[in-house]
Amino acid sequence: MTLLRLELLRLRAQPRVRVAFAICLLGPPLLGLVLSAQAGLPRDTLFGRHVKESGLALPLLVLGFAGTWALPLVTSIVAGDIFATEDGHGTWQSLLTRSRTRAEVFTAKLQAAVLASLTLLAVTAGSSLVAGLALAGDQPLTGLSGTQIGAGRATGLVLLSWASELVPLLGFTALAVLLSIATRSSLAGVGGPLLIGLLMQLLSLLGALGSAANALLTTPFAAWHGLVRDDPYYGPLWQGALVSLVWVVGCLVPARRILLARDIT
Amino acid sequence: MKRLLLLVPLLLAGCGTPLTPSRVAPSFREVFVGLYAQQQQLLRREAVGKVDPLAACRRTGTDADGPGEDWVCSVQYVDLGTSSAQVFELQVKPDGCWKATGPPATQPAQLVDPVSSRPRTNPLSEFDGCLDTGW
Amino acid sequence: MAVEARGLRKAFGDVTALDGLDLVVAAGSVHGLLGPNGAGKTTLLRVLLGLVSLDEGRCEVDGTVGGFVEAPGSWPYLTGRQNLQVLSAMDDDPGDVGEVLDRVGLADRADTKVGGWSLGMRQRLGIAAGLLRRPQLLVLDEPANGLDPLGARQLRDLIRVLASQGLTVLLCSHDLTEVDAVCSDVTVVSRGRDVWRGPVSQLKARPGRCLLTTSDDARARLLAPVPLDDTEVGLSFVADTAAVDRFVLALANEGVAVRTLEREALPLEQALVELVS
Repeated sequence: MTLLRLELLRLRAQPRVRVAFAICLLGPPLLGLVLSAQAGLPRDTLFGRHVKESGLALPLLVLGFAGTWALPLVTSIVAGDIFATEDGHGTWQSLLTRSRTRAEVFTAKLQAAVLASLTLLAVTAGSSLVAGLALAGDQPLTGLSGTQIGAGRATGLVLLSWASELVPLLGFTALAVLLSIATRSSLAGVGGPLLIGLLMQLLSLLGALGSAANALLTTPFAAWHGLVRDDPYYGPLWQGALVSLVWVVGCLVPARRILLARDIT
Repeated sequence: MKRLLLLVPLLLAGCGTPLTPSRVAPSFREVFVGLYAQQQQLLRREAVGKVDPLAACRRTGTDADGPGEDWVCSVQYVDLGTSSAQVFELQVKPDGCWKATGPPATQPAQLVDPVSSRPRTNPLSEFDGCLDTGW
Repeated sequence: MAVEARGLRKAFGDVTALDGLDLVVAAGSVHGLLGPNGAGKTTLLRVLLGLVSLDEGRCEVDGTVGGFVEAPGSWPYLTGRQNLQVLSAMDDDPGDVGEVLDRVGLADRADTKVGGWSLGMRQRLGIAAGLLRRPQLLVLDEPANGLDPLGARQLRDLIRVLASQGLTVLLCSHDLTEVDAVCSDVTVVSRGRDVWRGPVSQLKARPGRCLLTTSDDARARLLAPVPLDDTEVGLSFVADTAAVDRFVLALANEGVAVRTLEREALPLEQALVELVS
């Protein structure tokens, strides 16, 4: 068995990961049901006003909602805990007194965190798309350029939009890994990225940063705004990828160094 | 530390806001054109094609640009020989997305489908758009 | 030699944990590690397990090391067997999970989640995890912690069996009865240094404080090989076992009757206290 499979095996057995998975799977259909039972529409969130017109609006509504705070939380539930949990259970000495090196253990844990984040993202995307289509059908969607987009193309754009969230999500994964290793505390590993994400959102909301807000890790969560259109623009997506890459490298390099040099006490 | 150093030039490079009248207006105009066509279709005025409006946006408060709830966009267009002008109020959010609200007199919340006589949501009564806030 | 460590130094910030410590453990022996809390025993075990890096010194260990320091960790959301299966998959040449569970007496509870286990059971799981690595050197830190008297005795038996099969065991313990019962050699550690090392029998034979009452204290004082102190309850002196034997025989030869002879405490404990104070 590879180290990665061992990490995934242990992730699957953890109650908190199971709960996160269930929320990602059941949250969107529940939201869809609540919305279709209500008379009003969530007009303050993008695509909220179209939720009853087209089933493709729900996954984008969920995306707009999730991108602001839920996605950093989703990734930190796994990535912020996957290292610190060994401190909590006193299991570093069990892991690091075997035949595998620390670098191998670091890589496997990182891979497991990325895979888990990816899975949770895909589950939320799939579940909200299916729920939307089931509740409101596959009518054309009014995109952000004011034109109607046919269901087939719109489905592709919805999936692409969700996939674009992976870029900042990996940045948050790296941040959570760093906090998890540096603080040795699951609380800081899970809560830290969430708090930092909220602070970044707050900074953006104040609007005082101007274009400098593009350096924040939360900004790429909105890069999909350029995709759900007749003529998509990808600028924010590439910028977001660059910004996230800087965050990923800036977090993972010290994280790995700390773990490799650390005295397990 | 490395991360912070990398951020410095980015911060220096982009302190201006991308939310300027010259970027808000085309974004608003584009969505207006699309939704206008949708509205006319809903009213069964199939003959009407696309309009080619003039749009101008500004803030009514003290600031000239940036996010705020005091943006207005005026739009002028000619449709089947009739010239019209309307003013929309815009809330522009820091992430570059905006919400436009039409004048209630000319853009009521609901329209009546002339064939089925059913009420339909007026796409121009309230609508959203986003503009590119990239560097 | 199973372990040959010379001049080990390690500081955590301002705190010096190891201050030039030497440790030699003969292959196949059960070696006890004694000393007060904070003496550096646990840090020494961490060094042997490769969990802590040395500031200075050379540490050679022959073969693989298994075991744990302080409380052994486990994943509470997995069963005992699953815990060991995860670890076994990380070793190049692991032992058999079922067999080690059997050896520590956990076979019948192996398929329940560790979250509900008692401290003693988790302690045994830690020993099983160490054995699973098929080590040449097994490091155990207070393994009897949380075990009931019966469990502690079973553990001692297990250690003896392991040693008879050729495994070297390094046992860190506060329980002197345990050390006395299973260890052939000991190293006494104090303030980051080794202050004494040798067979347990020699440690016990070191000079200890004795309380003596005789029929004629004045004559006894003349015959004493070491200075005697007068106390309200008798004569007090410090001498090793051999010297005490000679003294008692000399008193008898001179017609002085020994009425009581007491050592103030358990010999091992007393030896230890004197070494580290």
